[in-house]
Amino acid sequence: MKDGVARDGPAGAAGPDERVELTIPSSPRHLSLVRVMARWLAEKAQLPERDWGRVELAAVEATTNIIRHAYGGDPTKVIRIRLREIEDGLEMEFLDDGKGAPPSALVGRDPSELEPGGLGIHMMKTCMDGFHYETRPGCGSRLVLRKLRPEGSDAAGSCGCGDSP
Amino acid sequence: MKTERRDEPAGVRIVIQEDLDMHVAGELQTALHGALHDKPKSLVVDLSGVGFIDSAGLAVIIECLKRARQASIAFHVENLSAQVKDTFEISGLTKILGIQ
Repeated sequence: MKDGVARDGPAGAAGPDERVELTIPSSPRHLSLVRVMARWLAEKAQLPERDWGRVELAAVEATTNIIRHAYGGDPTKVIRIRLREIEDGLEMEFLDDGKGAPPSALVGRDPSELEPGGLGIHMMKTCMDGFHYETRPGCGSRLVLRKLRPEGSDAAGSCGCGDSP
Repeated sequence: MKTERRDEPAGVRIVIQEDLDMHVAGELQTALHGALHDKPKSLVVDLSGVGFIDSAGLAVIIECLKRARQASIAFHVENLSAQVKDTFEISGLTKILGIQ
């Protein structure tokens, strides 16, 4: 299966009223594409540059979780990722058709513990401002991550070049 | 995965020259296990060529840190980019590894 990128709305950058959807096979070979798309959205949503990498990281963690846990490493499944700007930031939605995890399994670990398990969940929750997960047995899962612009920032008036001292 | 092994007086330095995610985590583990197997005095994981790391990459670092401690091998991670350092800080590894 090839990568698929679909865009709702007029051509150009994604605005608050349009959504970009990326469909990829459930293989880690495509994580670099997810990174590019997430970073692109963070920039377009005019988040501070320091947050671009965190949005990128959260998107990779969400996709990796689906590959590893929802699909058990099977690379022949499908992951859909919907990206859109919202009024005060951005939203990324991750959809799969795999076996869902109970919400109790989505508790991140204490970072002070020298154990790798649960690190991805901790990363997503720390990097993003909104984390919503829902699943229905046999019907897949949906994870929605949101990142908001810091209060007081003016997206419309920002050039994305950083502030002068 | 692109790595370079440098044998130095103080031990072994593994220079990673590629971003680290689930796709290359297994290769990273193989490279670091190979270095640990030789029981050097110290092992330095040099991330100067890494612009991104995720939890899969960090999991390999954590696992190798534990192996190194068990074998009394000094374990260091050096030359982190700003984004990679931010990821280490989120994970709590900067304190554990003494990264400034």
